[in-house]
Amino acid sequence: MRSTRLVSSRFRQAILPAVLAGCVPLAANAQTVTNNGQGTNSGYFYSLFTSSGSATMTFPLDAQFPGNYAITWSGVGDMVGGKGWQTGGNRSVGYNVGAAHGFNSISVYGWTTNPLVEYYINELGSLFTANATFKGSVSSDGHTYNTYEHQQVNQPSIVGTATFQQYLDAWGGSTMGANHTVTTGTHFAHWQSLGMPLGTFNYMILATEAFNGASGSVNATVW
Amino acid sequence: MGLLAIGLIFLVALWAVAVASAAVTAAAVTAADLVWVKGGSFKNIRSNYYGTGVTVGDFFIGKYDVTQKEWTEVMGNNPSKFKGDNLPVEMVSWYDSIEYCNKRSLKEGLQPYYNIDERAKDPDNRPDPTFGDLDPIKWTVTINAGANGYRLPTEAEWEYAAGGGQKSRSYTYSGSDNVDEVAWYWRNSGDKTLSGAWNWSLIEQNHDRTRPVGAKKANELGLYDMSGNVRQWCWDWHGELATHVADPRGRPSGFGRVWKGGGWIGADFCCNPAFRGSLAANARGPDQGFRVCRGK
Repeated sequence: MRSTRLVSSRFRQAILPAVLAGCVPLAANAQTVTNNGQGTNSGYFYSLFTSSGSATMTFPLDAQFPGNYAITWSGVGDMVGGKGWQTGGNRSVGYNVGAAHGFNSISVYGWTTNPLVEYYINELGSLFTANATFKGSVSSDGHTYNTYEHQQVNQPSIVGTATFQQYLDAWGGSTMGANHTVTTGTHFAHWQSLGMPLGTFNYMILATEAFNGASGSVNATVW
Repeated sequence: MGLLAIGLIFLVALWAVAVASAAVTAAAVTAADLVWVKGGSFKNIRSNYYGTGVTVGDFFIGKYDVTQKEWTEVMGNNPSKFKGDNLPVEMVSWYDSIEYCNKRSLKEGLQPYYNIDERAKDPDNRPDPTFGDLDPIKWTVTINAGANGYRLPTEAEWEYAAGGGQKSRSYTYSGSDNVDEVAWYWRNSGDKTLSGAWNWSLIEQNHDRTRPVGAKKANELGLYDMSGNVRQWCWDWHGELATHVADPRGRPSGFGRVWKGGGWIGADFCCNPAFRGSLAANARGPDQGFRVCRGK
């Protein structure tokens, strides 16, 4: 029941007829990730890590919606989890955050190498931008993001110690329980036009981040 | 006269013993710490140089990364974040590594391989097009091509050796297709095995760190830690790779020196010998070390 309360309106629209018809497939996949895990579920790359406290990721509706996942966390030092693609790139990322609380940000998050870039396209909550350089703004998918660039000199990165850029497109004004789109190519082209190049794509996920002892949950789907 | 002759004979004998001792010491060091790599064309089909017409000559290369014991004996300090005689030295810049090579050469009676001019700013050391001038040091470093002293491997030599040389079995990593069998990287270099996506907070929390050299499986040439543990400086400026040439030495100018092999912080894909990293020559990191090379 908990998972059905958390799922988005999109899911409810699809599931209710099935429930009423007496063929409920909610337990079709019992895959559970506790604290840390990475792999593939229903064709999507998933990732969960927890630095302290506890977190559990499940895929309650993946039989109907392959990109669905749910995470609950408690007292986490830092928790980042989500579902997406092992290789990111230009894509119309569809998502629906059915419900979420106790989080700091929900963003499309990924890495490229050569050049090394860490990027965030922030949909809910907020990113820390106080030490970043404002570069401009971009309109995409019906709203406006503020673009920031943050240089990290000789800092740890996915390739080890490196000087690299973080690109941040900050919005945070999305809504829960509705379908949304992130046209990543618009953001990538905007960054390129500002002299902020990208390299070879690594993973890209719709990432929920929570920290500082937070407890909460999220149920979302990407497609 | 008789006494003088005896004295001379005694001195000559002492000299001969000293020379012989030095030769034994050098031979012992060579046998213990350096591996002879027979050159040729690249047999490893995963190499960036495979099928490009690039060849490398014969050379010695360190069986292990330079350890903190080796570094301290030569340099008299230990800059490493994680301390331990048998741990690889880290927090060393490309310049530090070049200095070490020359000082070790002198200590062992070899000819220094590098000419280091600390006053002349190297005009070939260019600003990073993205970040500007990251390296204010810009020493001008040239080579003594015929010297027998220690040096950094070229990128081609490093990749040739990591890929197994003429004995290559074209593994994904240096010595195995299983990264955990040969490499310390972010997932396996801490208290627990990590999964999930790469994240620095989690890596710190898990106390990921360098590990004693030689603890994982060696590659086809008997070289350890060519994948993972610490990344290794190479001589070359990072840039477009040469083709159809013997012993390439990289581009004539650039803004970053090549590192290879991946380290304890980075992802598994960095541990693939074909992965090419770049870092400003003055940069240091707790995952940045090197191994030495030598000619005959």
